[in-house]
Amino acid sequence: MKSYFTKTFAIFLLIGVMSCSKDDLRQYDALQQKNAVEDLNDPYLLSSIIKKSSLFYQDMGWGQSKLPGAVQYCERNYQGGDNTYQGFKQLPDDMYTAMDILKFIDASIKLADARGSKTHVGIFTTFRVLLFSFMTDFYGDVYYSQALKGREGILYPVYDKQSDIYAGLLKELETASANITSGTDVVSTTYDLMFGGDKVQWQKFTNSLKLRLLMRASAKYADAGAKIAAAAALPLLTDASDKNASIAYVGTSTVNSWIGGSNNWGNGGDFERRRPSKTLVDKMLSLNDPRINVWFAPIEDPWTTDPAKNGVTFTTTDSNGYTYSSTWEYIDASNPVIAAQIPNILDKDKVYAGFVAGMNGDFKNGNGHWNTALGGAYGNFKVSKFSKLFQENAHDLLRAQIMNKDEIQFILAEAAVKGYITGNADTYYKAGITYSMKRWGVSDTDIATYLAQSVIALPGDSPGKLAKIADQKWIALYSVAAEAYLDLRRTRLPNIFSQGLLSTYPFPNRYRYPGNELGQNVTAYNQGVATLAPAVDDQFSKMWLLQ
Amino acid sequence: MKRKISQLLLLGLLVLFASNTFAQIKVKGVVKSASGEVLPGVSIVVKGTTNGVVTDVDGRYNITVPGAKSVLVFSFVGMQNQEITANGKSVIDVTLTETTIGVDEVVITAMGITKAKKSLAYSVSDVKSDDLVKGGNTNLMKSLDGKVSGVNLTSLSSDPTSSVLVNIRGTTAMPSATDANVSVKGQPLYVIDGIPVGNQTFTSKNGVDFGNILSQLNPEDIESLTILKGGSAGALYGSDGGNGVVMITTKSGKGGKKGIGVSFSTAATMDTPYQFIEEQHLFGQGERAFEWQYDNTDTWGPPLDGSYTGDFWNTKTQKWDNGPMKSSNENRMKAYLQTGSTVTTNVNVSGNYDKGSFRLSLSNMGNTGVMPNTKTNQKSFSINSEYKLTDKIKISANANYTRTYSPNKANVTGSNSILNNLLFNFPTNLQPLADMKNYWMKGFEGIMENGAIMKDNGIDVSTENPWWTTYEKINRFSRDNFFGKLQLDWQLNKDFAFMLRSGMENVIENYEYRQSFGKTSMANRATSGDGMFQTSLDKSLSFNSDAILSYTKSLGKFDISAAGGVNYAYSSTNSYAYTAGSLSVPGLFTMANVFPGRLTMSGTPQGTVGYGWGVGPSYSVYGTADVGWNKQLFLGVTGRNDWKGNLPEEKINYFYPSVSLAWVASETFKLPEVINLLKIRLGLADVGNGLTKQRPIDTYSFESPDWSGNVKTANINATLVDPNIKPMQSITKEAGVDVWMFNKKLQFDFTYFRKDQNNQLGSIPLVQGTGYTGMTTNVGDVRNEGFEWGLTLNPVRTKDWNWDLTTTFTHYKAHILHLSPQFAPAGYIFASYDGKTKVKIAEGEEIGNIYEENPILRVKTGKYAGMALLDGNGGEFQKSSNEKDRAQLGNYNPDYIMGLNTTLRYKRFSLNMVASFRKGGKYVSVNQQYMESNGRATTTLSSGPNNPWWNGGRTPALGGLAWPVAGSSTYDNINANNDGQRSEFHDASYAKGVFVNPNFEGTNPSDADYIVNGADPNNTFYQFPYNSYGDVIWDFTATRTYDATNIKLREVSLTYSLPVSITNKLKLNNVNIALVGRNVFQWNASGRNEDPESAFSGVGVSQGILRATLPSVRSIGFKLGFDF
Repeated sequence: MKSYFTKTFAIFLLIGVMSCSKDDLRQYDALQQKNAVEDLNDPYLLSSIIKKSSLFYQDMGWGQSKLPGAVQYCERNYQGGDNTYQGFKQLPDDMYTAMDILKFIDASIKLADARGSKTHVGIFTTFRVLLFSFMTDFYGDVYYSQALKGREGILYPVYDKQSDIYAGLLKELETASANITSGTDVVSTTYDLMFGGDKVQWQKFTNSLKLRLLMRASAKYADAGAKIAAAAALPLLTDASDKNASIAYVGTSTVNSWIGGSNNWGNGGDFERRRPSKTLVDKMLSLNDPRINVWFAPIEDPWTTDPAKNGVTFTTTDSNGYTYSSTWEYIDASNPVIAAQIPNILDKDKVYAGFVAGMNGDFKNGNGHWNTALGGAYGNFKVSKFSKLFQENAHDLLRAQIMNKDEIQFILAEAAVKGYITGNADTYYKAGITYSMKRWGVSDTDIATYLAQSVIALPGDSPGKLAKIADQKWIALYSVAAEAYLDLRRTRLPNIFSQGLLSTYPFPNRYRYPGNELGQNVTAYNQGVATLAPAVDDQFSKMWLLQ
Repeated sequence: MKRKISQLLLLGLLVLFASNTFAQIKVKGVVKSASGEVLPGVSIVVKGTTNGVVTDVDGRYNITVPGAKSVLVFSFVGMQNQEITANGKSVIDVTLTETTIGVDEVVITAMGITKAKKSLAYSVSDVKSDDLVKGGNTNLMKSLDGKVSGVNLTSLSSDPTSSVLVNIRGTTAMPSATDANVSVKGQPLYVIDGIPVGNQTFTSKNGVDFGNILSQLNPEDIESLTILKGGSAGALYGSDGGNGVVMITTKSGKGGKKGIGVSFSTAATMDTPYQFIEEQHLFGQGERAFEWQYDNTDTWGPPLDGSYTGDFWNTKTQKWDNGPMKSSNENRMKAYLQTGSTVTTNVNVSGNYDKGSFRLSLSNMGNTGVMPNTKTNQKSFSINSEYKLTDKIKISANANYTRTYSPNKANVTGSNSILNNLLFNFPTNLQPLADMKNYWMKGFEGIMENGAIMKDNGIDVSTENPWWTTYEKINRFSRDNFFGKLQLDWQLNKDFAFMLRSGMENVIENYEYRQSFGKTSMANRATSGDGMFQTSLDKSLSFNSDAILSYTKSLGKFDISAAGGVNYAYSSTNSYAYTAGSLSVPGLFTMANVFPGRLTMSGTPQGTVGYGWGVGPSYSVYGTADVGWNKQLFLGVTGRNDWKGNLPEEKINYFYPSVSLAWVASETFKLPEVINLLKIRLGLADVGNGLTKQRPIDTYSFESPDWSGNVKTANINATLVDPNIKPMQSITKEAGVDVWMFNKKLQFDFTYFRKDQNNQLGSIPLVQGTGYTGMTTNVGDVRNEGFEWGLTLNPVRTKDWNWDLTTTFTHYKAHILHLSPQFAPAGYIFASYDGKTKVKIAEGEEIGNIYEENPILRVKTGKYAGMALLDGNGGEFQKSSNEKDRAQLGNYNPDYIMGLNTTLRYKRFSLNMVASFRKGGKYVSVNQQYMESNGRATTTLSSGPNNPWWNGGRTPALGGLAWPVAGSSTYDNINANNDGQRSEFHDASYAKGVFVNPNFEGTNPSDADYIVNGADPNNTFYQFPYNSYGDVIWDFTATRTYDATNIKLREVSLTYSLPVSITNKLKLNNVNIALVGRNVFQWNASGRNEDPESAFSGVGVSQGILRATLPSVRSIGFKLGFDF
C-alpha cells in the first residue's frame, strides 16, 4: 500500500516538473530576434523612406483635395469645402504625418551612421530636410532643433524660428551633398525606388532641393542672388537623361497603388466628386495645350447651340488610348427646365469644360446640369471628369512625385529673369515646358507646335516674363499641388485669386497648427503664434517667409 | 513498476464501474421544522460515509443504510444538525430546530480554501446552482444579472449567446489617450475549480462577437459561483486578482445518493425581438422636397404621397422602373429580424461510492438567432471524479471539453452591421424586404448582386441588398476548449494537509470569413477581383500548478489555520490569419484563389517578435493565516510574492500583502434574541501590479504587404519607457457589517469600499515633436469609492407558503485623484473616445464622463451671450475650435444598480422573478445622429418642442417657411445665400442664433453688431431643412444625449414539482416543469425605443455610445427536469 502513495506522488511530481520546464531555448530565440529587429539594413531603410515621403507628398498633391482645390487644379463636385479653402479653417495635422516619417528618418540616419554608410546618411538627410521644410513652409515656426528628442528627455520641445530652420536646413543639405559624394557604400539598385542606385542623381536631387528652398526664401535674403547663383552652379536635375524625384506605383494593393485607382477609391465615388477646375481647363484651352486630353475626359453630354447636333453621339480617344463616348445636348429654350439653367451654362459647344472655381460644391451647380435624377448623388454630365488615366492603379505616367525636372527649369527661368543667374530665361522656360510635356507622353512634334505659338513666347518685359513662366509652372505642377500652392503663395502668380466665385474668399497663407499643439504643448504653440503677423493662429497670418 | 502504473490508470475506470455490495436497509421519512413546516433540501448522510440524499419539496426522503446500527446525520442551513441511529427502523420522521446562530455556512475563498462565512472579513457574493438555472438561461454570466451586489454586468448584445463584460465594484483603470475604454480593462480573474483561466473579455472577429469561455460554460454543471470582490479576498491571486475574482466550482458526484444517479433536463425558448426604433415614412430619397435622387441614401427628398414620379430600381423585377414614389411603410428592423430559438438538453450521470464519486455530464445547446441565417451550437462534455486511496489520500480529476460552432454569426453592433444599413441607409420608399429576397441577378447567380439600389448601368450595386449580406457574407467560427485538472489531497496528520494540483486550459479558435462576388463594380473586377476570404487560427495554452501545505489547530480559545503554497504558471499563445482581400473566380473560397497581390497575413508569426510562442512563465510563493479568538475575533493575513518576466532584463518581482479583521459582536455582547448575528469587518490589501520591464528601444517591422515583389519596406515601432517607472499599486480598504435577525429571516450586509489604484501604468501622450506618440509611465492615481448592500428577507414561511426576497444595491464612483506632473502641462487632455465624443483626463475628473467633441460656437459676452454664433456667409451653426468650450455630456456609469430576486412558493408551485433597475447615467445615441442627418428620424420633419435648434420644416404643412423675394435683403451675402437655394417649394428654415452684421469690420463685435437670425425675415439666412439641420446637427453630440435609466424584468419562471406519488409511478424523482421567460419587459426613462443597455455593449464599442444594435430580445419557453 505504501508504494501506492509513492507512485501517485511521483506522477504528480512528474506533471509538476513537465510544466516547470524552463524553455531556455525559446528565451534565447526571443532575445536573438529582438536584437535582429533593433537594426535594419540600409536598403530597407532606403526603400521605406523613399516610399513614405513620396506617398506623403503625392497625398497632399492629389489624394486630399485641400491643396489641389486651393490651386484650382480641381473643384469639388460634391461636398465642396475645398473649393473655397474651407480645409484651411480646420486644423490640419499633416504635420504629424511628417513627424512620423521624420522619426523613421532620424532613426535610419543613426543606424546608417553607425555602419559608416555615408551615402545613405546623405540621402536620408535630404529627405529629412524635405519634410522639415514641408512643416515650416506650411505652418511657420515648428519643431526642429529640439524635435524627435523624446529619448533624450525632451518631452516638451519648443519651436524654432522659421529663419533659423531655413538656415539649418540649407546647411544640412550641404552636409548631405558632401556625404553622398564621399560615401563609399553601395546604393541598392532595386531598393532605390527613385534613382535605381545612381548616386549622382541623388546628389543632383539634394542640390535641386536646395535651389527650391532658396527660391522660396529669396525675398528674405539680401544676398539671395549670390546664394541662388551658387546653388544653380551645382549639378542639378536638369539633363535630359536625369530622372524625376518620383516613384512608380506597383498597383497590386491599396498601399502601392495610385490613390484614384480601384484599389483605393473602389467604386469611383471620390473620383466623380472632384472635377477639373474651369480655371485650369480654360487656361489650357486658350493655349491649345495637348496635355488637356491626357488629363481630362470629354464631357459626357456637352451643350450645343446647334439643334441639328442634338442627340448626336461621338467618341473621343485620348493619347493613352482611353475612349469616351459623348452625346451633344441642344440648349432647348422650349424645355422649361433647360431654360431655367441657361444663365448657368458657361461652357457650350465645347468638348472639355471645368467646374467653376469657388462654386458651392454641388454637382447641380456645374454648367447648367439639370438632369439630377439621372446623375445620381454626384453625377454631372456637363462638366469634364478627370481622364481614365487617373483611375488606374498603376500607369507609366502616374508617379508619386516629390520634384520633377521641369520645376527646376522654371526656377532657373525665374532666377534668370530676376537676374540672380546669368542664363537665358527663355531656354529654361522652354526646357521646362518640354520636360513637363514629355513627362505626360506628349510627342515631340506636338511640343514643337505648342512652343511655336505666339501665346507661349515670352514677352520683353520682366513682369510679363514672370507671368508667363508662372502660368507654365502652375500647369507643370499639376498633381504636385503642395509645391504649386507654395509658389502661388510666394509669387501671387498666376493671378487666379478672383477666378469664378472666389473674389470674396481670401487666399490662405498657411496651415493652422494641429489642434493637439494648443492642448499639449501650449508654450511652444504660443511662441509660434507670437512670430506670426498678425500674431493669431489663423490661416491668413503671415509667417517669416511672407513678412 | 509498469504494472503499478497501469493499475493506477485503471483507477479512474474502477471509480466509474465499481458497484456496491453491502447489506441494505431502506429508511424513509419526513423532515419538518419546529414550527411544523416541511423542509425541502435537507441533507441526510450516513455517518462516516459519503452516502447521502436530500429531501424533496415535501420534506420526504428515501435512503438505503448499510446496517441497523447506521447513524443518519440530518443537516440544513440555519438548523442544528441532528444524528439519529437507525436501529432497524424503516420510518424516521425528524424535527429540526433552528440554530440560534446559523453561521456554519461555508464559502470557497481564494485558492479553493473553504472558510466559514462567519469568519470572513470581506464581502463575497455567492450564487448557488439553483439560482443560476432557474431562468433557463444558457449563458452563465447572463444568468447572474440582478442576483449579486457590487457587480456591473454588461451583455455585449441582447443576443442570448453574446459575451458579458464584468466589472466588480466598477473599474479603477485610468483612461489613456490611446485607449479610453476603461471597462474592458477592468475584467476580473476567473478561476474554475482552482485553476485560473485568465481575464476573459471576448473574441471579436470582423466585429462579430463569438462569446468567451465563460459564456460557453454550461450553467447546469455549476455547483456554485463565488465572487471575491475586494482586495483582501483576492490578494492571494496577486496582481491577476486586482479586479476581483470569480470562482466557479463545478458539480461533482459527491453528496448525492449512493450508486448511480441520472438527471435529465431540457429547456426550449423562443427569442423574439421587441422595441423597434420608429422612423419617418413620409419622405423619400433626396436632399430637397422637390428633387428626387434615386441613389442618395438621404431621405430629405420628395413626399411619398404618390404625387411625385421618378426612376427607381425595382429589385423584385430587376430593372429600372418609373412610377409614383410611395412609402413601403415598413419598419425595416422588424421586417428583417426573425424569431429565434434556443434549445438546451443536459444529461448527467453521477455515481457516489465509499471510495469515491464521479459525475459525467453531457449537454447540447442549439441557438437559431434572431438575425436570419445565424446559428450557434454548443456541446459540452465534462467529467469530475474523485477517488480515495485511503482515508487520508484523495485524488480528483476534472476534465471538461466544450465545442462551440457557428456556421454563421452576424455582426449585431456598430457600423459594419446589417442593422446599421437598415436603420440609416435604407430609404423608406425602397421596396419591402420581402420583395428583395432574390438577391442575385437572374441568370448571374453567384456573380452579380441584385442591389437594393443599383447604379445607372444596372449592373453595379449602389446600396447592398440586405439578403445578399445575410447569405453571402459568412462568419464561421468554432472554438474547442479543453480544461481540466488533477489534484491530490493528503491529510498528513491531524493538523497538516498537503495539496498538489495541476491544471491546464487549451483553447483553439478557428475562424473563416467568406464574402461572395457582388460588391466590386463589373468594370473593376478584371483589375481587382471581387469577394473575400479570410481564415484564422488562434491557440492558447496555459498551465498552472500549485502545491499547498495547510495547517489547522485549535489551541484553547484560539483557532488557527494557515496555508502556504507555491505556484508555477506558464502560458503561450499562437495565432495567424490569412486574408485574400479579393478572389479571382467566384464561389471558390480557397487561398489559392486569391487575386494576385491581394494576400495579406497577420498574427504572431509575422507580428512583433517574441510573441510567436508567447512564453510567459511566472513563479509565486504565497501564504495565508487566519487566527480566530473565542469565535468572535478573526484576523486574516495573506502574502504573495510573484516573479515575472521572460527575458533576463525583464525579470521583476513583487510582494502583495493583505490583512483583514472580523469581529462577531453578537458573540461578545449579549444582544437581544432577535439578533442572530452582528459582525463588523475591516479589510486592507496592497496589491502591486505585474509590470514586466520593457526595453526602451526602437524596433522595426516589415510592412505588409510588401511594396512590390522584390522590395520590402519597414515601419519603426518607437516606444519610450520612463526610466523612473514604478510598479502599479492598488490599495483596497473595505469596512462592512452583517446583521442576521429573526432566525435569519432577515439577513443584511453592507460594505463600504475604497480602492486606490496608484501609479497606474499607461502611455502619456507626447507631442509629436518628441518623435513618440506616447511614453509608458506612471500616469496617475484613480480612486474608486462606493458601497453595496444586500438584503435577504423571508417574510413568509409556512407549511404551504414560502416567500424569499433578495435585493442588491451597488453604487460606485471613480475619480482621477492625481496625475503625473509629466502628463499634460495644461493639466488635462482630451482623449478620443468614440466618433464625436471625448474623454477628459484631468485631476478630479470622474471616470465615465464623456464630453462633446464639437461644441456649438456661441457668443461669449453681452446681451446675446450663450446664443449660437452663426456663420456670416451661410447662417449655419459653427463649431468652436477651442477645446475649453467642450461641455460634459454626462457620465455613462449608473448612479446605482439595484437587483431584485424573489421566489414565491405555494405548495408545489414556485414563482421566481429577477428584475434590475439601473438608475442614472447618460448615453449618446449615434442612432439619432445618423437618423437625423439621413433624414430618417421623425424629428427631421419639422422643428418643434423636441427640437430647439432650428425653425422651419420640410413642407408648409410641417412649418416650412416661404422663401424671401430675390434680392430682398440689405446684405449681399444673405441674398447670395438665399437666392442660391430658394425654391417655389415652401421649405425655408433657419438656424436659431445670431450672426455678425456683414458690414461690421473689426475684431470684437459689440451687442449692436449682432443680428438675430429670423428676427427680420428679409435679413435671415435661410436654408432648406437638409442644409440647416440634417447636415449640421451631425456634429453636435449634445443634441442627442439621453438618460440611460431603465428597468428590466430579466427572468420570470413558474415551476411545478410533481408529487412523489406520481413520480414514483413514473419511477422518476424531482420532476419539475417550468415556464420560463427572460427579458420579458423593459422600461426606459428616455421614452425611446432603444435599449440603453446596448449603449454599454458592443464589440470594441465604447461605453455609453449606442449605435445600430439589436433591439431587446425576449425569450419565452419551458423547462423540464427529472432524475432517475
